[in-house]
Amino acid sequence: MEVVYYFNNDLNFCPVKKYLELKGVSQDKKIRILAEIDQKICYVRQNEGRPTPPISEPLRNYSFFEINTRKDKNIVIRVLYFRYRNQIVLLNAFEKSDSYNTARARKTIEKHYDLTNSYYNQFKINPKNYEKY
Amino acid sequence: MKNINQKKLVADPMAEARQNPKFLSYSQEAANRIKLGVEIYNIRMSQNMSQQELARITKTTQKMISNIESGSVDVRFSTLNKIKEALNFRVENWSRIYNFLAPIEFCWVGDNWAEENNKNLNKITSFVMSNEVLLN
Repeated sequence: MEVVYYFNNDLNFCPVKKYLELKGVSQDKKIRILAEIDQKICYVRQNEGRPTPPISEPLRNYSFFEINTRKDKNIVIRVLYFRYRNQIVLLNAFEKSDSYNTARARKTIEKHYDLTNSYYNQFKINPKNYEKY
Repeated sequence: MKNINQKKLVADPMAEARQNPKFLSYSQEAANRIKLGVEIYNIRMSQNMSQQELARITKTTQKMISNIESGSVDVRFSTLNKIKEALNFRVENWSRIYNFLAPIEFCWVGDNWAEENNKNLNKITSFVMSNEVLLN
């Protein structure tokens, strides 16, 4: 299976690619995080993009899956993807705190999911909107 | 006039990272952590054990078990030992993590044993030979 970045026409860039710049993170830590994300994507590819816990998991109410990678002690990076024909499309990435008990924090995460859902719908309309991983 | 349809040039951070000399060793470390995490997860699930339960037995936290299973942390030897004991790790489990051929258990089946198990015999022979090489 081919892994691709979803390209957003309105933003004029790939949201995952943009996130993976990991601004403000030291170079060594950045390489370590990216190596881990890359290996997890490889694992998902080996499993034909199927959500295979504990590395990737399905999300309730959404048609895409998530790959979690630890950034800091209390922060996790979520990369959201879905399978489209023979492609694994990396839709969006964001970070979340381990403890998101407040209504505000939960709302922020829901916003990320809704945004990813809109990316998902846009990609389905125009499946040529991607860049190679 | 500006071309608004032109794609914004965003460098690929993953491609850049792959050029870094440390990337390969970090990738190998991550791959091993993932294999260990998946194996622990699979055994735990086959025993219908929750992360909390495993954490209680191994005297660690549920968060730590979750981190180990997702391949996000380097496990301390003492913690790994406790997990191994709690989940009753077998040679097959280690063989899947470290990519070696586990010894195969076999028994006498009938007259056609030699033919049926010829492949297994070859595997066993190569396993014994590779171990002899290691021992020498």
